[in-house]
Amino acid sequence: MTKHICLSMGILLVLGLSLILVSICSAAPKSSVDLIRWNEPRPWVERLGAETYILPEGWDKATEGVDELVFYNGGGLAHDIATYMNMKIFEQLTGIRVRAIPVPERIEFAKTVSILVAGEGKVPLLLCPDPVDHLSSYAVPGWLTHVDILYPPEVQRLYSRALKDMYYIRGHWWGSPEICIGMLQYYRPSWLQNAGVDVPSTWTELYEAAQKCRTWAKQSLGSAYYGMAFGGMEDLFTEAIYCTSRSQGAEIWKDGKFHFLDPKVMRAFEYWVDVIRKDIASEECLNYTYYEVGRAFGMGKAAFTGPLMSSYVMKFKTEFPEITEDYVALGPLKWSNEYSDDYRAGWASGSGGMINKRSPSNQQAAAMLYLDFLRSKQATRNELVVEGNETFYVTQYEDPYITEKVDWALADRCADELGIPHPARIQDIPAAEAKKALMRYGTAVAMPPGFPEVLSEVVEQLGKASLGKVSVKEACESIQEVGDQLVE
Amino acid sequence: MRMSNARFGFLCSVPGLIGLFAFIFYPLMYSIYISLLRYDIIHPIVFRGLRNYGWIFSSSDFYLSWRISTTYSLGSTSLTLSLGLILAHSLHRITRGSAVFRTLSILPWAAPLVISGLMWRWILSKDLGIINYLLRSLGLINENIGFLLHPSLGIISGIWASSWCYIPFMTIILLAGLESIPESLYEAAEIDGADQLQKFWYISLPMNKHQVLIGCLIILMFTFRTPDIFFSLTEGGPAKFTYHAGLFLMDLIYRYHYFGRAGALSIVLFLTVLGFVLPLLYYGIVKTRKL
Repeated sequence: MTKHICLSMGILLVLGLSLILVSICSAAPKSSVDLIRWNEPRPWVERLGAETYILPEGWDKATEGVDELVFYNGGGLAHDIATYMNMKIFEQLTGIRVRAIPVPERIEFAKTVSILVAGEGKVPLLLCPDPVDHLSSYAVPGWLTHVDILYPPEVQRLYSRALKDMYYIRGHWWGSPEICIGMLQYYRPSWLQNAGVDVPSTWTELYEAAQKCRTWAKQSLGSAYYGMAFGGMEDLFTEAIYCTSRSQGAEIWKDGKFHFLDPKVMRAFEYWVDVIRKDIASEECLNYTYYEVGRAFGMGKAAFTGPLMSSYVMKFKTEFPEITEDYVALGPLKWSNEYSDDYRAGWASGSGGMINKRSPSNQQAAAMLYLDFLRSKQATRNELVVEGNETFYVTQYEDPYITEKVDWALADRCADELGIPHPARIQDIPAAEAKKALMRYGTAVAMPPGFPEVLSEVVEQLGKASLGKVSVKEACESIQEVGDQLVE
Repeated sequence: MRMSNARFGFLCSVPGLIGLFAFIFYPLMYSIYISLLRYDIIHPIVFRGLRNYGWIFSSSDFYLSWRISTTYSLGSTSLTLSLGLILAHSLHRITRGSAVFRTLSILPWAAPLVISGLMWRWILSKDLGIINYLLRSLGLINENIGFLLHPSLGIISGIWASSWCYIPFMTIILLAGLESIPESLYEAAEIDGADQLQKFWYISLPMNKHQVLIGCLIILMFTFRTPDIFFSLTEGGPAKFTYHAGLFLMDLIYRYHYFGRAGALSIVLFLTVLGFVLPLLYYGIVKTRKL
């Protein structure tokens, strides 16, 4: 009897110990990221929204053994003073040295792809310079660690909807922004006054205003002065046609298909064709990149621009004396007055960081922590005020004291280390209202892998239709055919 | 033991052969290998045989870019040769200040093709360029000309922009040939009553045949494969009116990431260049030796 009791007790003890052991093992984190308690010591939204970023609990255990975080930066740091400032702040907060490897723009994609194809894990934080065109190409083959954990619903609400448009692909978040770039339209108030037109609030009104300005300019200034300058090359045109489609509630890419034969998309395409065909803009716009658009408008050759980077708000003031006090930024527009303000659509994109799946777990945790910091109020303030970029963090534009909160001493120290002039101390965010509206109504899209092929066809057909070689319908049919082949 | 001449010659050529193998032969073989694969960044790499070549020959972009490259190449070679001959003969006859004139004529060669393209992009701009401004000021035109906006004018602009860079190179080669022609031949022709044109046609040109051939071969090869000018001048637009084959190749590699198709295209372009070059080499080496 005693023997039986002892045996039973022994079995129970072994079972109990096994259970304890199993629960310990299953409770062990699968990755270092799991060690980070993102909602402690304060809720996530408060940590990101604090004037000085608050590190989450557990970050030190998660990043144990990480002395240096390496990431690819688009180009040299001399042009990215805010990036450098944020690197220094992160180093100060965590003790993790941050090293940026400058990668020239032209080979950014090739460089990133080669490291992923090679299965190389030495660079945990990779650059996606153009998420619209390329993020899906990285995400679809399974090279990346998704960052869903960084974007719970309460955090998503802090940022412009354009963020999710770009980074949320096939049910996961695949990156997080490092830099935000927005597109605004610009106009010349003096030209509008002379031509007798009001400031447009819709794309259709802008078309008519530009047409009248062209008539006035041709008579008064000469035939080389136009109603509009816009970019007919590549990305600039994606933004133009996307915004004019979206402002009617149409999507070029949706549900795994292209919709170039959607009547609203065709109407948007025809809009830009007519801008050239009806002599509102020069045929030269077909060869214009953003540089030429900025130059043509800055030299006083056009009344309006199509979508152009918001950084030109300062460039026009400092680099183009012809229009110094005679230009205004226009925020996102809706198609026409038949549509509510919800249809206003402005383009907001920018480069982002992606987590390399092959990197060690603690390196990935460090990279995720850095991405978390980069989208905080403190880090985005530096991008917005010091460097003149934009931010997806919408409420930043509502802070009247934002320029006073920048650590200018740090900015100057960073400028000295980079060997560049000290950044200008601005009092206000230029064109703040237009930019706030841009981020509020900002939109973007994540195109499928291989999209550049479709884009090339779009640009080709724009040229052919504008020069009268094909009709708009034929052009859209050609583009749709290329798009259909891509998704087959 | 003394080494034989043949063996010594072979040993001296070994470094060059290694370079030839490493930088010419191996990449060529590897390109042929890749051209037989489905090789993009999304799908697994698989053997496709000649399907990439099939895709190339059924692609409208291939025929368009091939035609543009051929036109551009032949046009650039002709213009460069014509102006190079005129310049070489002029420099050959100038005695006073010849060093200055020769230096000035070589200067455009210092500009990389991409820079030349950017420069001519601004000069030929319809709305902002100086050419249109001058033509209007002189009353020669009423409306600005879109040099870079129409198929023919775009290619002609590219031909001009590249010729501007290559003319000094052609001039140097032809000038070297002219200066090697004995003066006694010209004196004898003058005694026989030959005028300048006859001297050029019967003495200068035939005696300079090899230099002309070499210059033409080099320009032909460079311009057919190198899209530098169109990269900066028009980026292949508008509407692919100036879509050089080199730009098509670049797009396949760097934008669309179809490495297998790019390999196939590069082999096709290589064979095209061989098709231009071999007859010229045959004429230059085999036939002229018989004369």
